[in-house]
Amino acid sequence: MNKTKPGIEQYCNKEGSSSKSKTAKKPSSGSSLQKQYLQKEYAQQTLGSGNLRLAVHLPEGEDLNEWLAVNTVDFFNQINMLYGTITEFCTPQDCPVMSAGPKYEYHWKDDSQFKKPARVSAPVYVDHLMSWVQSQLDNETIFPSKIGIEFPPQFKTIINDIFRRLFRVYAHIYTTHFPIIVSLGEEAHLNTSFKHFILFVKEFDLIDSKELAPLSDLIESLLAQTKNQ
Amino acid sequence: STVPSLSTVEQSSSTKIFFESYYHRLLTNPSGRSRRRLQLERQLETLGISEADKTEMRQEWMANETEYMRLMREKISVNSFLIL
Ligand SMILES: [Zn+2]
Repeated sequence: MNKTKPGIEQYCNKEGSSSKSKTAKKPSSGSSLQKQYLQKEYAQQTLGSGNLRLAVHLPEGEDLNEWLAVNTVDFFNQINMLYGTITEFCTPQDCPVMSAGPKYEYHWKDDSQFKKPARVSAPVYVDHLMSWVQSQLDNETIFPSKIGIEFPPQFKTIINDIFRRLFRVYAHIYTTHFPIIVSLGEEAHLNTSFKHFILFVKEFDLIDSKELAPLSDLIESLLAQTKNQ
Repeated sequence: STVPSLSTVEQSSSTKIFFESYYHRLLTNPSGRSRRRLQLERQLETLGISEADKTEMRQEWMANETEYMRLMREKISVNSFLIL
């Protein structure tokens, strides 16, 4: 297995940094729609009325890594399916750069093809991202499938990298493609999946809070709902 | 254009069904695991065995649950039917 940490791709806040991406175009959704996902009629749509907070707890006596592993595969599948329903609208023309709203851009970097952060379109970025996650999941030395084989010592670091990257797909869907989500009637499904993801992330401290900034207002609103349950 | 194609609409329907049943299962109380745990405890009560034996059986049960989770992971991984 490659022992070096997977590359950290450039994550630039276009307000705060003197970044080279001055030419970045705004995402195609108009500014009036940018925070559509925060409107009450959408943000409060979730599936079922049970307590998601309980669902993320490590079951009594269970192995932490085993629990992280099975949930990672679940979230990867969920994001794959959700993004799959909007691929028709996430084209290189519509989304020439991977972004999470006008203030955040993501540049792809990895250990093989892209040693320098590359400004690629959202569909290309997501394709690299999901393939990279898939390759981690398929790696027997990271995610052992045989009974009795242990997880590697750096497992938690890899999990953190996977979650940090998966978050970006949610962020792109919310900030750029939410009108399509609404027209497909998927807002409750997306919200429930994302809320579950965030509760899991918080429970096991998987993503640095500055990485969550593009959706911090939504996260606050979803977590407030859980408290009121 | 913001009008989804037929294949997107179909994919969306099956995705929604997946999420609805997934979260129905996840949020139904008690969970499969805690139900199995209760069954085990009831079974242990009726067996009339020593505390040490009970502890051993609980450990065995836990190992089975862990194993089951690993098998589930493999299964959902193989079944991820919408790989990009
Ligand atoms: Zn897009």
